[in-house]
Amino acid sequence: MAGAAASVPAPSSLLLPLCDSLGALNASVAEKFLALAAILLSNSTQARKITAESHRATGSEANLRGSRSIEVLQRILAETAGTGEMVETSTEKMAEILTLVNALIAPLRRLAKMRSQLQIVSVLCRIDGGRLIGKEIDISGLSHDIDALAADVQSRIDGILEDSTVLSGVLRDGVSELKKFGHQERTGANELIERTQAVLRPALARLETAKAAASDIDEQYARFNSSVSKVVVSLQSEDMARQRIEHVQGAIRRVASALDAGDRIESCAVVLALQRAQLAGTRDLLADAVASIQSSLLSLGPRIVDLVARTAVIARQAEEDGQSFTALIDGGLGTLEAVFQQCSSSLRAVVSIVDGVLPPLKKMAGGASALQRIEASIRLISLNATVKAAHLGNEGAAMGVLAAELHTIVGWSGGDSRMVLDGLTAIEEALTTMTLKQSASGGSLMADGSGAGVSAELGELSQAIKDSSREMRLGLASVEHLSEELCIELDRAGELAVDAASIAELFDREVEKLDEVLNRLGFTRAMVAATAAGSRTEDLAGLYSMESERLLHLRILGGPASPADTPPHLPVDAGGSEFGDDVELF
Amino acid sequence: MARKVLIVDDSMMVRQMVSFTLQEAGFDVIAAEHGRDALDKLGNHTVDLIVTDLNMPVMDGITFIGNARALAGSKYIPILMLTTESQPEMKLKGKAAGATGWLVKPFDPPKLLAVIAKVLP
Repeated sequence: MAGAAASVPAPSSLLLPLCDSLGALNASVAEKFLALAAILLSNSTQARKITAESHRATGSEANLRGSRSIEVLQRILAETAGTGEMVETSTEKMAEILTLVNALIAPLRRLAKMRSQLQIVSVLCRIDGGRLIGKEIDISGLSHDIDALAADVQSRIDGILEDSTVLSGVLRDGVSELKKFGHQERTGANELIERTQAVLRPALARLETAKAAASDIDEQYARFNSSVSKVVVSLQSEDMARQRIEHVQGAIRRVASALDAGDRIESCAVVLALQRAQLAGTRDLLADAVASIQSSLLSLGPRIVDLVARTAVIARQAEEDGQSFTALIDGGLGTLEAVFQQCSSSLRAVVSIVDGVLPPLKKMAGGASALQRIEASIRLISLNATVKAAHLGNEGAAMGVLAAELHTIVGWSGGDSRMVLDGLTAIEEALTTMTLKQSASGGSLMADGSGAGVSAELGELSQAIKDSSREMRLGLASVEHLSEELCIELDRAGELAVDAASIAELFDREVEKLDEVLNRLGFTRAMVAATAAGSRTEDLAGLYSMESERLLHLRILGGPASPADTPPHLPVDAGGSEFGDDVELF
Repeated sequence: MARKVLIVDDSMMVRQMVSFTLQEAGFDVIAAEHGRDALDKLGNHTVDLIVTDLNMPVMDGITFIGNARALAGSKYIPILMLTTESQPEMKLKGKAAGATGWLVKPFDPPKLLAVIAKVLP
């Protein structure tokens, strides 16, 4: 064995060129992986741009503006339709109220006769009172009370009649104003509203599609990023491989030095075997990484193609919808403004009518209630006269007749004043219906009444649709251009990955070179078996700057060789964290 | 204003991958090749977070953390170690030097961002 060693050149002259060769291998691996990294970064930037342009192409931003305008436009349509309906109902209700007001006239005219009736009773009472002067019962106060009530009755009835005249006037003017927005106009407005809604429906559906598309685009981008993350993990294998090769270089240099100093090859057999295994293991690590990168890169292309295809479909569909919508706006949607203004004017008329009707109605109700109070007073006077007549006996017979007359007056006036009150209640109910309709229809846009809001909204909607179309055209062109570039880059990345796969062959060559040198140095596998569990193994620790690498090497050779290879039990939490075993937060 | 992260690693690949991951997430990044380089950078920049390797030439990660913690400006900055090492005794050394957390390479981008989100004040 010593003779064989003497026939070979100095070990360092055989081993050190291997170190240089491994250095070149490291440089080659770094070059290939850094090229892959560069193209990955470029691809990722390009994918981000494509995503942004895809959003633009599906009109996400412009759609948002359009969405707000469509929402306002829908409110305008709803308010217009609601106002049309409300005007129609209000017109009917006002006609109904007018009829009710007219129906009050007859009972009021009858009630107007009440004063003269009371005055007659008062005169007769005064005459009878003169006849009874000096008697125990004094009835002179009765005629004064009746006179006062008669005056009050007259005043109240005059007031009610006056208010009913005012009410009739307001209602007649209101009906006349509302009739300006006639049936034909309302039908026209309804047709316009239906036409607009018909165009809005696909526009709204498109908004939903665009939203779904935006989400789909984000999902595709997330998947793309997920593949990129896998590549990022795989690319880091270069760092691990570099460190391992550097360790192999260090080990070989130390072995060369030891052998040059006279150590026997057997004593270095384990170390050399470890380096061989390390090279083979690193080759496999990088081969796996390259295969993973290739697979991830392969998945990126179809995702981009799919993303572009979906974007194109949505953008083209949106463009068609946008054109039909713009055509509708140009073709007469603007008349909605006029209809809206008309509705707004009618709404103001209804508000004005209700405002005008309420004060006289309130006064009439007050007057009618006062009449009922007066009737109650007359009943009391009648009762008082009856009692006094009874006290006077035969002399009070005339007084009894007057008391009966008062009772009769109250009887028929009570019926009429109830009719007036019932009529007023019916008017109030009809008015309440009008007020409720008005509240339901009165939105902020309609309440503004100028129609300027409608013009602004229609203008904004039209502009949003036009912006959207322009954005979509530009966005789609940009997406298609960028994706073409990206597909070319992905092809290039694929080529680089194929080239990187040749790394395995470079490693195989290095292993072959090592085998050749080991052979020339007289190394055999039997030497490893003989010394693997020996004391030399413990010296391995000095070869590695990374403890984990040393353990890895030992595992390759068949497990830990000494208790020192087993990690000591330490108080650090080895169970990992919420992020997994490879993360620990202190 | 974007948060600034100092990445310390002798591997160009790791610096690139960490920079890429953080920049995609909106961070500003400055990079150093080893601990000494990183200390020089800390003298010229205010950073919100440091991600450092352990085994590096010139100055290793543990020494760097010890020196960084002695600087007034980086006394309380979160420092994450990103290394292939996972031995408990090494983690203890990192913790004793002042590391905030320990991540084993290779890192997964979403996980790195999640950890950073957790430790950043």
